[in-house]
Amino acid sequence: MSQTKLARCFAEALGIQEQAVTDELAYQTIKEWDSVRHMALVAIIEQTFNVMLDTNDIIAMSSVGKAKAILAKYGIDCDAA
Amino acid sequence: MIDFIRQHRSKHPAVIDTDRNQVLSYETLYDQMEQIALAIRHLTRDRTLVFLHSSATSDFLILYLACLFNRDPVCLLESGLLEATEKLLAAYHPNLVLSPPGMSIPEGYSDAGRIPGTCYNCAVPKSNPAPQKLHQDLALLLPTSGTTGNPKLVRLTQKNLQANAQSIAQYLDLSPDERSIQGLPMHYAYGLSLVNSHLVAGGTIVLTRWSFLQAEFWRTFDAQRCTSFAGVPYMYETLDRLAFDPACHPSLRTMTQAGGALRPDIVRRLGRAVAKAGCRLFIMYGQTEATARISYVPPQLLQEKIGSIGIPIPGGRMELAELEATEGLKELVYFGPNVMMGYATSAASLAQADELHGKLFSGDLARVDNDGFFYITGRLKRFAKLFGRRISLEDIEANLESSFTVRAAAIEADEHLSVYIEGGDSSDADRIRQYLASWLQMSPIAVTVKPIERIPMTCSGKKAYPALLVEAA
Repeated sequence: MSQTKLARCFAEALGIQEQAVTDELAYQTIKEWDSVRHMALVAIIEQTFNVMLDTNDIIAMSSVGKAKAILAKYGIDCDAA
Repeated sequence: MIDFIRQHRSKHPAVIDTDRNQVLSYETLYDQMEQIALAIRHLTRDRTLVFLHSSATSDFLILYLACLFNRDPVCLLESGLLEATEKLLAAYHPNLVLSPPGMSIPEGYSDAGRIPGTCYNCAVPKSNPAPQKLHQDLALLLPTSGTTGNPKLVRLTQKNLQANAQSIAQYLDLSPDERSIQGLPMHYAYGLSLVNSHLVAGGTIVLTRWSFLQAEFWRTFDAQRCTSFAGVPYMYETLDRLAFDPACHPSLRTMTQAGGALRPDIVRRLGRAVAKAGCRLFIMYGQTEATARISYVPPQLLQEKIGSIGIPIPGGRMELAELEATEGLKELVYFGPNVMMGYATSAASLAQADELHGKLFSGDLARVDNDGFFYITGRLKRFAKLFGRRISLEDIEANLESSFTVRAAAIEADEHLSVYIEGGDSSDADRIRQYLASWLQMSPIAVTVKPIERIPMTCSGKKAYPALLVEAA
């Protein structure tokens, strides 16, 4: 369920289809994921999961897989059913 | 511009392309530019209009300079905006289109191969091109609303470029040991002004494909001992959010900001951090219509003048002009050698001489304090400044009204685009929102589309934007 939640965050912030959100999807590999939209993504993830990401997390969040790993640090399991 | 590069001819680095591990000295830069200029002339025979798509590479920079060297008017475009480029091609019919790898050949053009020594491809018209009338002073064309493909371009001369670059180099006190990292695209007036001002000062331009958000960008910054960083408001908002500390970058000396108003609390905070680190923060104001720069706040007065756009750049002058039928509101007027020749709207206007004679009505409402510092209080022109990009609100309305069966009214509030639609329901609103975000290359989060029963109108039959602004707030 969280997986869908995270996919929805990406879809909404970047303006892409939810199906396009895979673990491998990475920053700057599609034109929709640029620095402007990255910050929109950060904002929606913080809002959705009620977390406050720190500087290193924002910079390190360079793929969907990494976003999951970062959220896991905050006790959020995106792959849980 | 070219004279300066000729003057600076030496082993001193002019451009460092970090992605290629390439250092171009002023000598090499000049020689390569001359060769590429010859290659272009071989292709085109005569002085001609060139469209040049940008990339963060030394090739782009050399091609830009080669066009100046050849006195070929060159229009700089963002790469990858296919629709926008098509509209501009249809309006101007350039005889040469230069694009970085991965871009398709535009319709009506054929592939003429690589420009030797670069990664750029060139395309020429399929049919015999009609001769173009190009004014002798015309050197550079910059779009007024890049993403929407509005054919309205700003016409600039070599004198404009040189005058503005020299003013900037003067007030920033640039010297040959300056190293500026290119975190802004070079097709954008502010981004290009970094290049031009550092070239006239004999400084070094450091190119990187990384974005300022990535650790690699700042590693490059430190490794190349860069001395300055330039950004638009959203970049500084992001750095603020990331708790950026100028003291962590020992080679950093100067930070500059333009491209719209930065939040006062960020200016105050960043100003303090920058001063503590022994660096300078320049808050600046400008317009593509004035090549780039119009005014700046001297860093030592920053904390006293928060919210101000500052004083005119060296060689420039600012005045306030009374507006007819609006009590108390005054428009900022700028005078200087960097004021454009005028706008172009079609190929025919490329033959026109200077229409403005150094006087630019900015379209911004302003006031001035007792110390001669100016403050922007509003905007007369219908365009939004979103994430450092200038976007015509009229283009947005026209596009929506022709693509969907709605009437539309677009306004901007706090880096957010709000569009009101009459004649559509909430599912139309959602479709239009996704469409706009994709077309304008923005996050859908920064776009709101609201169905409205009637778009309010003024008694003279125009859309009543102030009423919508109240509604949006």
